Amino acid sequence: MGAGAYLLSIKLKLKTFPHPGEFLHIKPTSEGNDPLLRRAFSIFDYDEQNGTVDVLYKVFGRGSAILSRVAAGHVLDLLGPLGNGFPIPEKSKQLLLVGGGVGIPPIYLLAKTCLRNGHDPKLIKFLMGFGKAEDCVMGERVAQLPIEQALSTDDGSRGHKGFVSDLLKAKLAGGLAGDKTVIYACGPEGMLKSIQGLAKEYATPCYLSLESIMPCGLGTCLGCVVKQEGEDKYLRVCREGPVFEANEVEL
Amino acid sequence: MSSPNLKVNIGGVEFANPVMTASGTFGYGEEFNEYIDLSRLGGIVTKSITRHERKGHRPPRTAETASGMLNAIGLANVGVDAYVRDKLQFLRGLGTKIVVNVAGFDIDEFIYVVDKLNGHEEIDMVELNISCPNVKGDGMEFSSKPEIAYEVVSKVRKICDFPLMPKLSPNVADIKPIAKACEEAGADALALINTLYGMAIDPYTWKIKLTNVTGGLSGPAIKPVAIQAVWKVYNTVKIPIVGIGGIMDYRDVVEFMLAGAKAVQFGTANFIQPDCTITAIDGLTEYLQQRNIADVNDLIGKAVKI
Repeated sequence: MGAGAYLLSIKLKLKTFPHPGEFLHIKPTSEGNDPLLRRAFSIFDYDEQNGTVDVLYKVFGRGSAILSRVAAGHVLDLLGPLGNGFPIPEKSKQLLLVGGGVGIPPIYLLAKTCLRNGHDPKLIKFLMGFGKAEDCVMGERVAQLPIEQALSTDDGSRGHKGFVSDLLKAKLAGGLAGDKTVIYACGPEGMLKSIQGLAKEYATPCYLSLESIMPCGLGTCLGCVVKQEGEDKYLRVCREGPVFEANEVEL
Repeated sequence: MSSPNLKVNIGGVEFANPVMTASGTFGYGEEFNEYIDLSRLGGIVTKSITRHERKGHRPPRTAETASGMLNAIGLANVGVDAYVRDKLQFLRGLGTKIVVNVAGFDIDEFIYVVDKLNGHEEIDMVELNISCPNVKGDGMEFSSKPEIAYEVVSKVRKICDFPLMPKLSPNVADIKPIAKACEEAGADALALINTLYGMAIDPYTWKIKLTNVTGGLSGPAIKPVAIQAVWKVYNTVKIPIVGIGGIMDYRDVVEFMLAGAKAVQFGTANFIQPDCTITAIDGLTEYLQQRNIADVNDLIGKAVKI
């Protein structure tokens, strides 16, 4: 797609429409033991007619680089869908959906799911944050949704100059704060931390989808944990998450 | 040819086949129940338990390395009381052998935990994790010196209702005297190897990848280290050896058995392929059939020098 972003379409018939926020644990290569572990990718989209699951990602390290070179028609080794996914909001709620870069996929699927369920499009606002204008390719499919959208880039090359949390803050300050609204967010940890702070400041329910180094994805290695807020306890991102209530976790 | 014999006897416990799961890679079995038929496993070795519940280290706790991974989970576990109360219930009646891995930071802790396990008939064997640091001693692992290994194993042996299998560390100059000391202390079997010390640093951010700084290296990267340890120990002691270290498939099982292991444990492989153990049992059966080997025990220690 350019800007280091890749769209992977996997022929995979799921029993039911995937729950937004669920992820697939994909082995970058089935040849040999290096890289050894699977990589977690949020489900971006699902085509029921053709039975294809889409994954949208950016190349960050060796695993994703190898995956990006997989030829069309190759058989992939994957596990999933895994994880809890986002709770589907009541239809009366105002939704503030926030996606930062590669955090957009699960939020897009949530928007699509809510629209399929008959959520009033006027009640859904999608805020996207990118590094620079070229990265905005990751928001192309979101742009096709019949909902209000806004975007920011760190360098101001497109949309609002600054962070997507600025856009969220404006919405909350502009009268959308409170328990008639639900915020859903996925993106880099810094962004999630800001959003967690805003949700608290504006007393608005908020769910965050977290990313973590996730060796097994099955809840057994205890590698991917996040600290539970106010408790001397760790939660498994793969099993209790990846979606958490914003006030439930310490980022 | 009819089905080959896969049964192996370790310390008086008959395992249906030589394939077990390694401690810390299989939880208490619950998560895997939805992926595989647990009754087909030779045995399940459950996650290390200690006297009290442990929350574990602050993340990041793992880092991938070339054909391996580092972990510093920090012995996170529910503690022995909750284990006996909540976890044994599930493990009971799974139709596989249950080996409980016990960790401790001093000898009293090992004794306390094993004593709490005594009398629970769901348990078939105790694996003693003597590869954790001895906080009351000099901070070295119990399995780093023959005298200390002897002391902890003999003291636990006296009070333990079950066959006892110390798990040895590879982070020693010579594993043979430690294995020998465990045997002399009354160990019924030996499990080896635990993880190797390791560390990784990000060259761009200069940050150490684990919060705990160092961790244990596991996965295929350590298999040759494990094979040589099993071979050396096999030629040193008479008690059975359970081989661990980078086992991914039935070929690795065969390799460990040829080196002298009577059974094996799959560790890191469970993270990648939840059904790796079952696939390996099937692969091993086929391997023996194709070679007209009637008994899996005939593989043990049969590696030939060239």
